[in-house]
Amino acid sequence: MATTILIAEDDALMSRLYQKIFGFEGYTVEMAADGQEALDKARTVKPTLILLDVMMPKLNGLEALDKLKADPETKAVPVVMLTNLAGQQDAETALAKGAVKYIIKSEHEPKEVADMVKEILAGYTRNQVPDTPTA
Amino acid sequence: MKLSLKLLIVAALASLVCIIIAAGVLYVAAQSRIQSQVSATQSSTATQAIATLDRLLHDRRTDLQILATGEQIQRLVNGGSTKALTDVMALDSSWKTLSVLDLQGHTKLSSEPTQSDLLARQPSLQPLYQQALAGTTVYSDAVVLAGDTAPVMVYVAPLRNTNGKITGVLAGALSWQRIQTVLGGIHGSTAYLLSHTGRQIGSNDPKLALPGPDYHTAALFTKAASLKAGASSTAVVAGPDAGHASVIASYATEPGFQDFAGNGWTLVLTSPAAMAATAALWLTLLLIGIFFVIVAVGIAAVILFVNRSFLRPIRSLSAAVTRITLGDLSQTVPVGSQDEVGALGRNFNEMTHQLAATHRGLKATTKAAEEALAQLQSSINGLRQGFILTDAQGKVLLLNAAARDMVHLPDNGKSAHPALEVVAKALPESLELIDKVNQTVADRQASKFPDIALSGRFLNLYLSPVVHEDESIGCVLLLEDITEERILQRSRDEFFSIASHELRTPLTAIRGNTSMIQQYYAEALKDPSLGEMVTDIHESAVRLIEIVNDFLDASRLEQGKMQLTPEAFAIEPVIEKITYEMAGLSRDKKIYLKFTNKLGTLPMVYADQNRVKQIIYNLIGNAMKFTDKGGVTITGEVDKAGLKVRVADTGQGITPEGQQILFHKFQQSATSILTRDNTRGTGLGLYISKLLVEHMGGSIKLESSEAGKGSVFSFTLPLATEEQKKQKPPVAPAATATATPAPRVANDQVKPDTKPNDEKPTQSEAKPDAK
Repeated sequence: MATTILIAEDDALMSRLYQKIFGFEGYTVEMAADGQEALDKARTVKPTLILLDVMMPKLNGLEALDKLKADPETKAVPVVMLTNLAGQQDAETALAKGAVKYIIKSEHEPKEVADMVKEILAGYTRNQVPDTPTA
Repeated sequence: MKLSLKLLIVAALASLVCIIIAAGVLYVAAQSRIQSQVSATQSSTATQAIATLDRLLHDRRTDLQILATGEQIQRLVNGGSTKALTDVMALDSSWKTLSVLDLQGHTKLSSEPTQSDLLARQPSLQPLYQQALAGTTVYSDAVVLAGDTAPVMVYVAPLRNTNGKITGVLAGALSWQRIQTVLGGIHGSTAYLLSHTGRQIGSNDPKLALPGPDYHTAALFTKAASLKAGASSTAVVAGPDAGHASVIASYATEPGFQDFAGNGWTLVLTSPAAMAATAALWLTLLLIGIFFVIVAVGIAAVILFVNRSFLRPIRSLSAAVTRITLGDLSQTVPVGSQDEVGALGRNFNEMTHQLAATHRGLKATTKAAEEALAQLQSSINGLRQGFILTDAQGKVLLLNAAARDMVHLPDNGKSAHPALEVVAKALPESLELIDKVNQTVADRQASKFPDIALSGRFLNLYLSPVVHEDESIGCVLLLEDITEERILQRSRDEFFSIASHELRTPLTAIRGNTSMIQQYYAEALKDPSLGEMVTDIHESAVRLIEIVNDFLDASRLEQGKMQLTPEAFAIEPVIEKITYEMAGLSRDKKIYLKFTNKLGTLPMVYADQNRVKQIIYNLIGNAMKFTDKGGVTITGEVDKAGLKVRVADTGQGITPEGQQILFHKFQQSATSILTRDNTRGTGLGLYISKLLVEHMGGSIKLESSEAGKGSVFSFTLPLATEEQKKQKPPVAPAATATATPAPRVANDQVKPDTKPNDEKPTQSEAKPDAK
């Protein structure tokens, strides 16, 4: 069964970068260009994990996270926040809201990001039940 | 009233008193003197008169005696011729009549026929007749013979024959006029001739010339009778009766004058006492008049002297003082004498001279002070900061235009400064400006109230007490408009935010893509040149990201916006892990990298662990960068400042010039900007490390450096207290651990990502479990 990763990233460059690496690594990749689209796709495609950028148009990452965690359909999906260095504070807030991790984009090579996601998914797989870590 | 007039009045009063006393004394003395002079004159006059009278009496008696014993009288008596008697009388005109009485008392002969029987007609002469018969020659007082009107004196002398036998008595009547003539020669006094019975028998006063009643002289006689026989005396006695004034009287009964005294006569001279008193009065008045003249002249002289010596200089002093009071300090007074007044004048001139000098100095000082004040006020008014000065009671003394603008007070022209209440009302109420000002004055503590929002602008308010001689005399309020600063600050923040996002996103894309090319398209990169180019692109992107990160770190540290999350932790595992991570590079460079402390030998520190790692990476990275032989040794030890970590290398060392700029921004030791090795980082590494260490309460320094032998850097961290050790580690680090970059070092070749996968996933893995 192919693992589906939903990547919500408004910046085309970053979007394509993450799309490629997760494609190379064998994941099914779904893309969203803003928070609203991310919410919609989360409901329709039912991803295994969501990579959510903090700064996005229409609905930002934190707002989208709130809605994801409020929706019983999506609240169990692990969310990893993508951010830049200046958004560290927001990222900390996101952890409190239920994100499992945040990754500062500029700090890591794409392969590292993919590896991190792999680790997370491995953890969930071991535990079988991907319970939502409630804030 | 002028002083001279006062002096004059006082002198006049004093003189008057003196004159009255002197007049009294003078009057008494003059009266006494005049009386004694009058008495002396009277005594002398009386004595002379008595002498004359005595001689007269004596001569008549002697004459008669000689006549009575002469032959001629014998013959006359025997002849019985009256004519012969008149012839005798013609010879001696003193006699008015001559009579011869026989032994039976009958008149035998008389020059005056009417006096034929003398004794019968004048029985008072009987005792005299008997005395003559007994052989003595005597005479009577003044008597007025019967049938006669003019008084006479009757002398009787015994008539003797050649045998010496008394044959009869010769009686001669001497005209009283002779006595009266002598008395009439007395002038200046009223003379009284008193008989032995006190009867007045003569006087120089024609009205009293005839013998009169004795009452008139009774008092005089009583006085005279009390005198010792033969004494003369003077006395003031009451007048004879109430109607008469007091008199000065002299009495004389001279013992040498036998006839006068023998007759029991007394001569009294009197002058009215009132006359002496009057004379004394006139004398007194004369003396007083003279005295007055002398005194008047004296006073005039004194006034003249005082005026010349005192009043005139004093008046000119007074006038000069008045002019000085009016502001003319050029005044001098003439100095005319060497005395105290002259000295006063000289001192006064010296004083005005000094006063003028002082005044000039004072004017200069005042002018300087006024200029300084004007300069100060202009400066204050020109200040861009709002400036308000109050006194200790909060009254506004000074308020410049900037302050007026800042608190939006209307410019009311040149009128008084607005009250502090008005200023307080213009500022936010929560500031409680008036209370704050009062508190500043009371406590003498300066204070700052930042970021006061006032209609879209931001002000900083500084309150500072004005203290003079240990007393709070007011308060300075300084208003600073920081709106521009705030705007600038915000745009800078935005710039960094944008830079971090907008710069790093494309860089991340470059780095990510090149890294994926290297990883997934290895076949396509078989051409070494292409492979090298892709690698260089990747390296460049990595370095650019690090540069941006350094800039952001430095900027946030400078602004105090770096949030540190300190915790208590052991430093040995941290250093071990870093040396482990960097071992690859040391192997490549063929140098050693060692940490000498064993685990658990150092106390825990209290700091931000990730930031401490960043510092250690930086120091080791630098050390390795400049070391080609030997290696790098890291040691930890407890220092008085806390825990000290020392990084010693055996590299090329740092020049003294380089040491100077070591911890400064953008400085790389031993390089100029042109020769800077651009492959070796941003030059911010040590600067950031320094800021980080200081933010955590430690310090960093170059301990020593020697060319060719290497350098020793060290930094300290505060030791964790027991309380800090018990604190739970912050929630974030576990989660952020992965997120934190940590191994950002100046040396690009130190790649933390050589073994990133060993640890980071492990840490993140723990995360879901912890929750």
